[in-house]
Amino acid sequence: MIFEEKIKKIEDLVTKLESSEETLENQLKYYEEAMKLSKECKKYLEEAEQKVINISQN
Amino acid sequence: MSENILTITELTQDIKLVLEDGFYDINVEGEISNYKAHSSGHKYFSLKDENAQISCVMWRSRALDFNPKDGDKINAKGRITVYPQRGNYQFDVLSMNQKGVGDLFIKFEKLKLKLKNKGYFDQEHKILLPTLPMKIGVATSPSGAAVKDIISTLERRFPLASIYFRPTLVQGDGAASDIVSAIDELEKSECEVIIIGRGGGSLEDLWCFNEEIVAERIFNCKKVLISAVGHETDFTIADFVADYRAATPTAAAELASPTTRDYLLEGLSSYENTITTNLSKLLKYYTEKIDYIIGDKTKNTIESTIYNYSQFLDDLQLSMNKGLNYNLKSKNQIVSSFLNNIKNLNPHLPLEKGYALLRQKGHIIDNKDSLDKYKYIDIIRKNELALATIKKILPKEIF
Repeated sequence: MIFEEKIKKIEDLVTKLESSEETLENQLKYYEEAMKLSKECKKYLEEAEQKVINISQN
Repeated sequence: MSENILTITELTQDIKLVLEDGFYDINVEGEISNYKAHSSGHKYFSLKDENAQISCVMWRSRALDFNPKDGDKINAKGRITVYPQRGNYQFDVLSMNQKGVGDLFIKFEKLKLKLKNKGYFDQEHKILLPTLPMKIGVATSPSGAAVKDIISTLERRFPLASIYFRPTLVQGDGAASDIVSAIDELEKSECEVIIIGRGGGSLEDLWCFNEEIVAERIFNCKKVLISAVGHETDFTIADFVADYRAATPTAAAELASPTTRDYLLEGLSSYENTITTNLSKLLKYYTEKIDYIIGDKTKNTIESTIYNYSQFLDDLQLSMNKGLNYNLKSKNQIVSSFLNNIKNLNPHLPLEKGYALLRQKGHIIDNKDSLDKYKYIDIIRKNELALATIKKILPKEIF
């Protein structure tokens, strides 16, 4: 999953978690997944370094 | 008849009104003479042609992108102002360009009008920026400050984005066609946003961004394009056609990174907090619920167990009692029938009914014994004892 997809997924999970119409079992599952993704994203954000790709001039 | 006499001030005020109202937006051409750049930053000079001249002032705040000198042929835009203290009128120069460049101005205005009429600047053709551009195309000079500004701005705000840099000619011959190919290449690349631009310069320096082929290419670009040419005050045709106009290359990089890394990090932390709080609330709720249920259930179980046991005990007691009673009853029966039996065995019982016992030498004579062996017997009745002598014994048949 790429970064944007992870962010999107976290947003979805948070929405689901906030609705509280889910079973506890699902809530725990969503929570774990959201936390895992969030940690991954934070790590990615903190470690990100600008990449400059040169498109050669003709 | 009284003549209307004006004071000098009143006259000057009237002249001021007439001149300043009549000449407030004019373009002139002429040659510079007596040019003086004062240390305050204001410039004083005259503009002249073969037959006339006019004093001019250009205040420090007016942008000027060349160094004028005496003899320069220029186009100037400005207005007439009157300086009452001296009784002077002068030309207040808002902007001026070297002649030739003035032709560019006219070209610029013509093209601007043409493209405007074609709808090239219309809002409906503008494409919106994505909220999280991860690939940003940049077309500018590899040696200018613009590329450094863009990279450092993105580095600070959103280093996750990859920059697709297309070194591009942004000044002089061939610049316009190179900008067109740069947009072609960036449009074909993976980038989501394209920034084209350069740092400040004279109108001539920036001219490639006013070329019609560049405007056409920008208009037909299917990706979001940000134009960032020159400084705040510089406007080019590219700026009008582009989806976004940034005042500077730095501002373009800011536009291209609407969501910053810090914002995302904060957002993630706040998500984490929210869901952690929610979940712990939920867990607390369930824990309390479980406690409540277990507490009640246990109580119920214990109670019902106790009830069950006491019932059981009651039942047990009941059946024990029953059994005991039964036993006692049957025991009683046994005892009483035993007693009856015993009673029956009591040899004195028949005496009660009037029968008599026969005894001989202390022994009861039963039916097995025959009396013919005895001569003397005792006859025992309930209340009497008779000593008898047997005279004769007869067989039973003759009774």
